[in-house]
Amino acid sequence: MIDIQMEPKKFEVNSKWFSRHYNKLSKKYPYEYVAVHNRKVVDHDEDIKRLLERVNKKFGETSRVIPIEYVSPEKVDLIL
Amino acid sequence: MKIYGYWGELDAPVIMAEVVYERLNIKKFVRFIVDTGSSKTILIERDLKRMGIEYSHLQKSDKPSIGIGGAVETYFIPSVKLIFSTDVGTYTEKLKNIYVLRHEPKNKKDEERIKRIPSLLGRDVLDKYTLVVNKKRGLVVITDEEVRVR
Repeated sequence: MIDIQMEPKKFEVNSKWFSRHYNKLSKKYPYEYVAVHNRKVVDHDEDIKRLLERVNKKFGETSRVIPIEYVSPEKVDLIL
Repeated sequence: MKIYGYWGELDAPVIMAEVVYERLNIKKFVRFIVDTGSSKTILIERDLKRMGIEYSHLQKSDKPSIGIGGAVETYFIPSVKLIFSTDVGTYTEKLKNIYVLRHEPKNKKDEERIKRIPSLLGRDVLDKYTLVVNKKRGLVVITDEEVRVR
């Protein structure tokens, strides 16, 4: 059963954990997409399509709260 | 009502929302960078893929956009809801369109740079509220309450 009330909180926790650990993740998984859940990397791949297929298959509906982000060791300034 | 965000890995304010596209029964949480310079709220390809939406599901915009790296192809998803988690429950913002930018990388370096571009929460949402950001205090808040600056 999915706990609807807890879903935003779970996504927030996963997102914040990703941001806090970005530097470490970018060294461990350079130029890859990482999927984060329950304060850990649950899967990674350089191809987002492959990664999504595996994450969706493994986590089903829960994949809604799993951020998938690209990590790079190169430092950039975000100029929007 | 207050929507709380945080300062993300790109040293930019992040707000999270659930993006709901009822026509295709799709709901996904997305991280947005708060961008007062962007006139529209924009999804990037990574989040579009996470939502399982193909470009063939989208309508192409007649108006070209200027984005990072120059002109890009612009698509839009009509009638989208953004559901924010707030201090008093959830808050739904209905958008007539949410825009999707399709970048065409010219080379490998370009491709790598494009992969890092985040989805953006633009002024079509922000203009309705007050945005409070303070990096020193780690504060990112969108609110409909009165904010006094002295």
